[in-house]
Amino acid sequence: MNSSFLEIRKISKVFSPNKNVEVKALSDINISIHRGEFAVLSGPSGSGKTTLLNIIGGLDGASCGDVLLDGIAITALDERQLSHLRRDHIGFVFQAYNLIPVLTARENIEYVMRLQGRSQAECGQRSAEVAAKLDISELLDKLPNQLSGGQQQRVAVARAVASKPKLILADEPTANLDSKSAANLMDMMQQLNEDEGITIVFSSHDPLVISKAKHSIVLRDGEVVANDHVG
Amino acid sequence: MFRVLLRIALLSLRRRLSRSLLVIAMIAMSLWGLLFMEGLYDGMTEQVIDNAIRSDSGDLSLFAREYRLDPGLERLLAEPAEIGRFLDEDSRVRSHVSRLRQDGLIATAHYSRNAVIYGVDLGAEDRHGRLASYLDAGAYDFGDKGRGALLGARLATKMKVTVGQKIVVSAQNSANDVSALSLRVVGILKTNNMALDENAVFIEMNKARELLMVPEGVSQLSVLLYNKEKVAAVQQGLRVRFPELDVLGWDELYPALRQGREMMEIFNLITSLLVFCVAGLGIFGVMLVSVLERLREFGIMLAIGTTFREIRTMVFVESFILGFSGYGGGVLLGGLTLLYFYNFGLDLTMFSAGLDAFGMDAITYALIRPSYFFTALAAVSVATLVSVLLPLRILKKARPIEAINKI
Amino acid sequence: MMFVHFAMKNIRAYRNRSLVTLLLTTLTTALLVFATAFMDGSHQKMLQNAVEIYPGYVQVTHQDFRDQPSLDNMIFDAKAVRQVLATTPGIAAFAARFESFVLFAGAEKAVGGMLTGIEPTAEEKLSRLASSLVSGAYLADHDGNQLYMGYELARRLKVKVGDELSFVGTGADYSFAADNLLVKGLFKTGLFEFDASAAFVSKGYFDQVMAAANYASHFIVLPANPSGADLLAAELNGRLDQQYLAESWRTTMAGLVQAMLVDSIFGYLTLAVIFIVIFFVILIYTWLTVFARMREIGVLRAVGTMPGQILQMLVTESVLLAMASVVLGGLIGGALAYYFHLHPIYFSFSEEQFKQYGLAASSMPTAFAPLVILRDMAVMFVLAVGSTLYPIIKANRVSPMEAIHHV
Repeated sequence: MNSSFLEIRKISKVFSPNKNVEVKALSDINISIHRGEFAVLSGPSGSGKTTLLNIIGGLDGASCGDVLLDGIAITALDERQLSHLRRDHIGFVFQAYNLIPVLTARENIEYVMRLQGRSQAECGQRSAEVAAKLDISELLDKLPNQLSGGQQQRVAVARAVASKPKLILADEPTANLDSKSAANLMDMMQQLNEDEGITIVFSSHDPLVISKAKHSIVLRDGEVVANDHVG
Repeated sequence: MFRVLLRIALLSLRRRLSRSLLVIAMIAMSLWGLLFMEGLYDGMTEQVIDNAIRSDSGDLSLFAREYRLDPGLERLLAEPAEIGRFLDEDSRVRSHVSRLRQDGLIATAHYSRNAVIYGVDLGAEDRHGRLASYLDAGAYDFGDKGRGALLGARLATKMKVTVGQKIVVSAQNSANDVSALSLRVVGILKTNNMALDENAVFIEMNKARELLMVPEGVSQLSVLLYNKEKVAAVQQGLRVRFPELDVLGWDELYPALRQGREMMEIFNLITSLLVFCVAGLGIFGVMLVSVLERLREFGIMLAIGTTFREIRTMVFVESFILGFSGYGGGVLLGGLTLLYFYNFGLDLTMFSAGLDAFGMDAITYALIRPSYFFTALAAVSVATLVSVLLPLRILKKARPIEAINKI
Repeated sequence: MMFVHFAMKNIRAYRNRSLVTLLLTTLTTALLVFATAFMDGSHQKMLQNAVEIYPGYVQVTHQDFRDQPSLDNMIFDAKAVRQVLATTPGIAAFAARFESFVLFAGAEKAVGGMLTGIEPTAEEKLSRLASSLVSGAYLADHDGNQLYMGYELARRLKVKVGDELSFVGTGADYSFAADNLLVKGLFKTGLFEFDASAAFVSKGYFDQVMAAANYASHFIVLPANPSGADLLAAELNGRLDQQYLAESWRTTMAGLVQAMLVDSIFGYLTLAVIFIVIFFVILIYTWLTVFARMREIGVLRAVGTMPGQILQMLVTESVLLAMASVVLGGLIGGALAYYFHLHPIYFSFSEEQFKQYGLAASSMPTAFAPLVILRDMAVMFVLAVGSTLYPIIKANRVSPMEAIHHV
């Protein structure tokens, strides 16, 4: 469990909204995260948390540096390979839930597995299993707009987890939730982390979330200012 | 304040540039198509009518009573000179010309056909309806002795006669005997007035008088005016002055052409309506989405003191900017296209046989009427106005001020 | 399969776009299908009328007759031609005619016209002469100087059934030919020009008075299958002596055939203008929905959906919508075409126009041709799907990052 699973090496990201302006979002980030870790990126707004998550998830490119996921340099992959990587190995949880509005909770959860080409039966079994763990079994046939924020976010977590990815990236998953729902969600995610051994990387500035982390990375103005393993 | 609203409207449109451009392109393209169609079709219709007017009916024609129902030498205008003098005094009349007409037969050494013999004065005909411009082959001249004849193009084709060949025309004269006259074809006229092209043999007026034994009187007196809008007035004047005559407008003589023009007008109207309704639907969709996606923005504007009236003005302004940009583009494209076809015409020579069957010229020159642009402007205005009414209602009901706190 | 399911859900969820697309595509398809059926139907009817009233599907003439229609270029051995026609398979009926142009003289009037010798019994199957009878009786094979004449010609000559009139013409041997005729019947085909100039006698009598025994200006031939007229003409050209020429109506009436083509071209031009706008609107609505779903597309991309799969999903939506509306539109248009095929549309208001163009029909059945309807449906399908591709491709080019943050 101690081998480096996610290796972030010398990542920098510069935005240039126009020719004369350059904004340095990330500079020279070096982080290494082990398999099965429950890691959190914290820091104030604008510190670069989301940008870093997007680069790890292959949604955004870095200006320089490498990201190695389980030995694969994702910064070197093309669009197609990135799509496959996201489909097969990474689960996403967004701040704004981002469920597909026309699909039911169950279909949302099964979507990625279906993309992977798994059978209907396998998808059904797995979604039921995950839904039970997240306590949303009753909600499976509802559409996203029939669910509360906390319920939607649990469905989103279920979608991220269902395909058994190696890594889950969650960008401020509790930001839109009340504190009870937030705590509830964090407990469930922690449970999943332990049960399924999935590496989870959060971004958050919620002390509750930060307190659950085993590996806490603090960013400020695009630089790592603290990188501690807890417990 | 209006300047600020205008600026916001412009910036909103720019924010969705592709979408705005699409709407503008849609309006421009539909106008382009409509203008092109209208100008071209009107050009076609008017060309056919113009041919009939110039070659035959004039704007008005005078006949002896009931001549049209029963044409014959016993129904002639007895004193054309008197009518001529009356017309000469009328400043609205541009020109007039008289013709003697009789049904008969044309024959070559090998073949014969029925024909209509017209006794005419070529000089007067050319001054009147530019008849010489229809000359397809040969010369526009009956010769010193007046022994020449000009033939309608289709008649010449059917008879297989060419310039220089001899023909014999025969017809019943005023004494009810059949008399004949030997002539030489000097020219072929292609007027695209089917009745003439199919049947007409033009001969010198005096020769016709000899052949038909009609020393005086004419069958028809055709009148052209300077201004087409005066036709009804002049017609009325003539009817009062010559109550014993039939005074008929071109549209009474060629009801088919009038019908054709009416059909074309209805057809154009329906097409335009259809196009503008559909285009209005397009503008509506875009304005609706553009209003709904900015609920929050409108809410903020209301919260800081903008009135709903001002927001409504802004939405109208946006819609009109789209509409009028499209109108401008369409008018530019359509106008230039029409200008090109106005000057150079649409050459359909490859279909000339088919066009002949419709009595149409092989080259059609488009018309450009100011009314095209005014009606289009009105239609675009209405379409843009109507298409934002519903979005505005929805906006009012949606209470944008409550949308501020939503994400 | 998952994407079809997904697409169905989206079609239901984005109701406005679906409805507008469905409605417009359905209407457009119905419009195209019906317009085509109407144009094809009326053209077929006009051509069929024009062909069947008198000229016939296949004509056999002397090969020089069309270029030089003289008495020198007649068929001088009608028996030989008759023999070939009698032994050629695929011929339903045939008959000889001898056309000549004469001057008819009634008690008061003389008018040029066409006097044709026909074989009355055979002619009955070949043209609509017999069925166009309006008063008196049709000819019999052994009639003598009995005349079957056009209604308008009789009106011009002021004669009626039972009256006598005379004619003056040229015999086949260039001799002077004249006789008195007795009006036996009047016909009205609806072709004004034809009704105003044509008259018929039995060929037995004609041959005698015109010295034309065993002569004919042409034979008309009715193929067992009228649509195979061209093939039959080709077949006959192989069998007949090479001084004769068989031509189908497509050649003898080339002008009219082309006129119908020109009419279709302008019809489609108008439809094109309407379609441009309609498909622009479909494009705009697709644009609006696709961009409203930008965030969703971004999420789909983020969780690993390939751009190709998103394309597949969006195109599937368009295809399903297009398919549904094309089928619906095809059914509506097809039903209308079928209904008006059985119950022809009657154009009383444009009778004058039809008359002018020598088209006897003012009652127009639409064509009901399933293959053509399918073709039009296919065209509309391609256009409907095609007009959604631009927004789909454009939206799919946006990176997942931009898409998720799209507002």
